[in-house]
Amino acid sequence: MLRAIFFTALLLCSSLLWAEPPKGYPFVSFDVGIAEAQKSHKNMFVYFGRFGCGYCDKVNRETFVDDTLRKLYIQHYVLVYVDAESGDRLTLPDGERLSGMELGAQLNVFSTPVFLYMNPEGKLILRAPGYKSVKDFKDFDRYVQGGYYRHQSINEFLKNPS
Amino acid sequence: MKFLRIYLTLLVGMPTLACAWTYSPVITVSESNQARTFIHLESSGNRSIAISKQWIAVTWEDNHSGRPGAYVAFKAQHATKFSHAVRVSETEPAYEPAVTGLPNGRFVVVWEAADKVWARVVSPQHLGPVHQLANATAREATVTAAGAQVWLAWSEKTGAHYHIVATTARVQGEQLQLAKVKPVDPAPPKQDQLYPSVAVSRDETTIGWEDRRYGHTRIVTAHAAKGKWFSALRPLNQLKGRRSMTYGKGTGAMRVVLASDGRHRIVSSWLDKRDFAEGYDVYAAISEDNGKTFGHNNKVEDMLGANQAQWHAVSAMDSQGHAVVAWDDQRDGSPDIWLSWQIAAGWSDDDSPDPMHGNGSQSHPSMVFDQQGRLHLVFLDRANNKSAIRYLVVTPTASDFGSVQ
Repeated sequence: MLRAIFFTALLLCSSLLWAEPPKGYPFVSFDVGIAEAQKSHKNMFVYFGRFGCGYCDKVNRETFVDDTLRKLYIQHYVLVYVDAESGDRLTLPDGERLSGMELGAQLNVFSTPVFLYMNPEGKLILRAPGYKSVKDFKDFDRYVQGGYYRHQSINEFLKNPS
Repeated sequence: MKFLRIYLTLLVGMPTLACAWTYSPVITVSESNQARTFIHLESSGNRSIAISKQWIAVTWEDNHSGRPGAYVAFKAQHATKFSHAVRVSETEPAYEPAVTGLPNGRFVVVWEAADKVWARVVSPQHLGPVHQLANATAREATVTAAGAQVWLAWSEKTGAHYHIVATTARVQGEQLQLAKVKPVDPAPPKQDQLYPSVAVSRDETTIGWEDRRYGHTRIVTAHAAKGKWFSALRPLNQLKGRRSMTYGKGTGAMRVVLASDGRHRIVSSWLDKRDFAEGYDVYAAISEDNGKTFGHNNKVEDMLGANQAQWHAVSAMDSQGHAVVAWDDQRDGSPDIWLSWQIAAGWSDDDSPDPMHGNGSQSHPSMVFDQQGRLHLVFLDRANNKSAIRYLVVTPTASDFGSVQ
């Protein structure tokens, strides 16, 4: 029992210190995610984080711990995590194979976290940089899932959400 | 705001406009007009170009054969075009080839394929046998030669993490005779060590890499005296005070590049996020004692680039100890390549001449000095679904550099 508590605490600590994807969410690599999105016809939620990133840690600990958000995002999205400094390779929808860092450079992800909402073909729907609250993520979800992005900017939507 | 930008451009640009560096016509190394063909100029330590005697070699990765492969092309110094691309990788997909020049018109190329790293001696006439450098899972290989002495380093998995390992090699004909591979830091890695870069001069060796043991990515270096293995590592990138004692462990730094004058000076450059709101900046530090210690970190890009994210930094040093750093950023709306060189007061204003600036994306510079002090530079040029590797020679004005000790 003590051993189980120790390892659970260790796991929790490591997630808190290193700002990896939040625990309790089935984040996968970009390649796995896009294949899964095309199969399930779900949109993708791509979390660009950085090892040691403060705001990634903050959003993990203050926002992603919300259980209603967790259920909502697991239901609506294929969840993808990209380490913005990583040399790990991923394959883009057009076939280009490049590292997480190079994808960050192409998308000019200069600050982390950055959250990208993409359709199953990998086309960008919404880019949301920086720390976000539970309310922010729920607003973005309604904007994306409701298809408002087809005729409204996110700012227009947020001024007058339906 | 627009007028302020124009004013600042004129004000800060004055010394740059007066700069009399000359840029040769651009030569295309390799190009593709085909959709879904992608060319990449990436390597650990940013070593995509090398010089040996009268020959220049350029390495890259592309998928024109259907799968990513590592290629090399050669050019005699005074020739006006490069040879056709020669595939150096036998197992594919292959990634991130790096190259260094040997003294006799030959080169060593290293690359990654099938979760291993590989090397071979190449020349415009021959390809030597392929040597597998690691039995374990490995990536991010780099290579540096000083005279006949060749150093190879890569990131190799041990347990749950990667650590930096290195070895030397003697070149006999087209064969590489590898010495024992050893970890640079003998302690088992507690987090990943990635993307090594090596500089060698006067039989002393300096290695730098990205190290995550601190809970965030830092650049560290270690030095080996003649005939000795590496000393304890030293952090290279200086830290600002932590913004939060609660969240995260610190800012990031990545992709260190070391270059030596072959005597006692080494320039290191890397991308650094200590001012995190503007993305990565290019930082550099100079060693005057062959890599045992490095001086103060200096931001390289000028104030017009300060609010932009910089990417793909590379540094080079000539035999007189003059240092140049290049990178790409989007301050003029699309990625362009910018150069800065060390002056008495730090680093010069940034310069981005026509061949490296304009429509489309000019990015991923890699460069090396020749013995005459000319800078040979390659970069990736992408526009209208076409991509190409371009090459040019930059002839600096020696008086523009700061004095060297």
